[in-house]
Amino acid sequence: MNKKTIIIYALLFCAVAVISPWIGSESISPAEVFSAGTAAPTPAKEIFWLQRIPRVLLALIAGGALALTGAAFQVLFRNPLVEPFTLGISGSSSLGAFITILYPCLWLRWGPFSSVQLFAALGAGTSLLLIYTLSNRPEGVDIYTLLLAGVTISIICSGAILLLTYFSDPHSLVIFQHWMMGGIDIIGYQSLFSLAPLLLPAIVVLFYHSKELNHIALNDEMAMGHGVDIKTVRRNVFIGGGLAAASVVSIVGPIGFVGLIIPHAVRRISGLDQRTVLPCSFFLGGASLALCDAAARTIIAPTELPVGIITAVIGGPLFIRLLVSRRLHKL
Amino acid sequence: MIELHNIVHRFPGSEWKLDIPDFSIQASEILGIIGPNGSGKSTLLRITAGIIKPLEGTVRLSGKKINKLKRKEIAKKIGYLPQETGSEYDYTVEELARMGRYSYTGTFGGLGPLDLKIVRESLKSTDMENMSERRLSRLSGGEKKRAFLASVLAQSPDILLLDEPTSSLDIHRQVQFFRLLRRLANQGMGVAVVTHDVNFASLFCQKLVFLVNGGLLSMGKPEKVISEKTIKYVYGEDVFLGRHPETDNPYLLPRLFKKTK
Repeated sequence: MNKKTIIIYALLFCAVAVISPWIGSESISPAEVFSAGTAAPTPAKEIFWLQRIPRVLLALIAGGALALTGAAFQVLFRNPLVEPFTLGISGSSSLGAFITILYPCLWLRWGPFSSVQLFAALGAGTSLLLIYTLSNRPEGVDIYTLLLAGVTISIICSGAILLLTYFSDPHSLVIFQHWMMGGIDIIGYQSLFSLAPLLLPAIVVLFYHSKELNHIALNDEMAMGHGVDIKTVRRNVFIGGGLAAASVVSIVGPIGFVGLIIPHAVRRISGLDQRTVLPCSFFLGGASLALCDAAARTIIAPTELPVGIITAVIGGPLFIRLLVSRRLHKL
Repeated sequence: MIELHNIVHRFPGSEWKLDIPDFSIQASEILGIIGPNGSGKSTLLRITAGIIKPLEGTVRLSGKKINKLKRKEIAKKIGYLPQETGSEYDYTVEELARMGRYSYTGTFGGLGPLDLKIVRESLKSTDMENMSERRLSRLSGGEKKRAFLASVLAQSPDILLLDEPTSSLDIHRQVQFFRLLRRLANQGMGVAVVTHDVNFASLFCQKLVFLVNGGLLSMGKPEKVISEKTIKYVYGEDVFLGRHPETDNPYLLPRLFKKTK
């Protein structure tokens, strides 16, 4: 574990957290926000405290959780292409969300959870459970079955979504399309609170098992020989990552890419010790998504772009640049 | 130190059966497990290491049933080097060796001065000390095996179980590897090594276990276990039996021409 590296990433995370609320189509000055005395809320204060801050916080947490899950899953399945969405979470949660958007009669609210959120999480949870039961064997989880089942479930879900699209009205289609593109334009703190009960324990579990993930990167027998209880670790990391991804996706929609690319970037820059990689992925993932969202707010102001577009358009070329430059350095 | 009793194991969907009535590994000796492909050598070693649970029978580690022990407790006693070693990520030799201390560490996996000293020692005894910063991808086959062995030795085990550790090495590295095993045994470690090389097993092991088709053919000193007759029976091959000039241990030479009756 390299504490210095983790602290540098954490500082970057904090810097983004402090700076990005000030970025947006409506320019706000610190003087307006922190002007003392007036009890009545001014527009600037409202925008800042009820829109920008919750939004930035959500971006930091969601990006962090997706990258963290990606980092953990890539080791767990010993496959560099895995991210939360490879396991069918994207498709199944989209299907869940789409169904509630199409049939508002299913409208239900439970505590701080919105209907779309509940159904998206339900979809993600169902697919994870299904994949896990399919691939769980007496000798442990069969990784190939797991990945294949994940991809198959994605395909089935997108088929179902196409079918529903065919029969649905344009209005719900627009809402659904918006959800699919990923967005963190929340207002107030309710969705943030609704994240906490699932996400916090999941993050703790993933961090806790980061040292065992180093051993899992070797191979199962070697890890067991070293004393790692591989069945327990695999189950916990799978459930932890699944919960983290499902709860995030249920609010922000399927924002791809962060979970795939951030962990690779961290490993390329800061080494392979998972005890460093996992926390750093969280910090870098959160910072990146918050920056992408700041860009999404400003590029075509006063209108906004869905943040999913930005992560793909900016993140992709940057990552390719990183791949190329590292290769040149190494050879 | 480790005792197996009435072990029976089968794999689903196969007629093959491993059936070993009694088997044990003692301190300060090298035990060679030999036999043809598919004779159950690796399976026996995995069962001994507690990696797979046999269908029947018990494995006792210092008198305690192994399936009652936590993996961390087993890892402090048994070092297991599987046949397949590799890594998804390109760790350095040092990073790999440090992983061997896992069972002694707490929540964050931090290593204390004693841990680091043991890691140093295991790198030294495997002759990897000057390569500790090298990445695994930059090592030769033999160096890689030794790097993994270093991480196993860092567990400070009493028993060392090795599955075909020398199968991809040239003769020099093979001899070196077995000499290292002998040093470890002289320091009191119990070593069991699976190998298909009957000659190396005979020259370096105090005791041999000969497995055939999942059963125990014979067990004992090399000169007792290895004979022209057994080799003919097991491998269907006619051989000459020689004696090593230094130790008098038996060794095999294949016959080049068919025996004429």
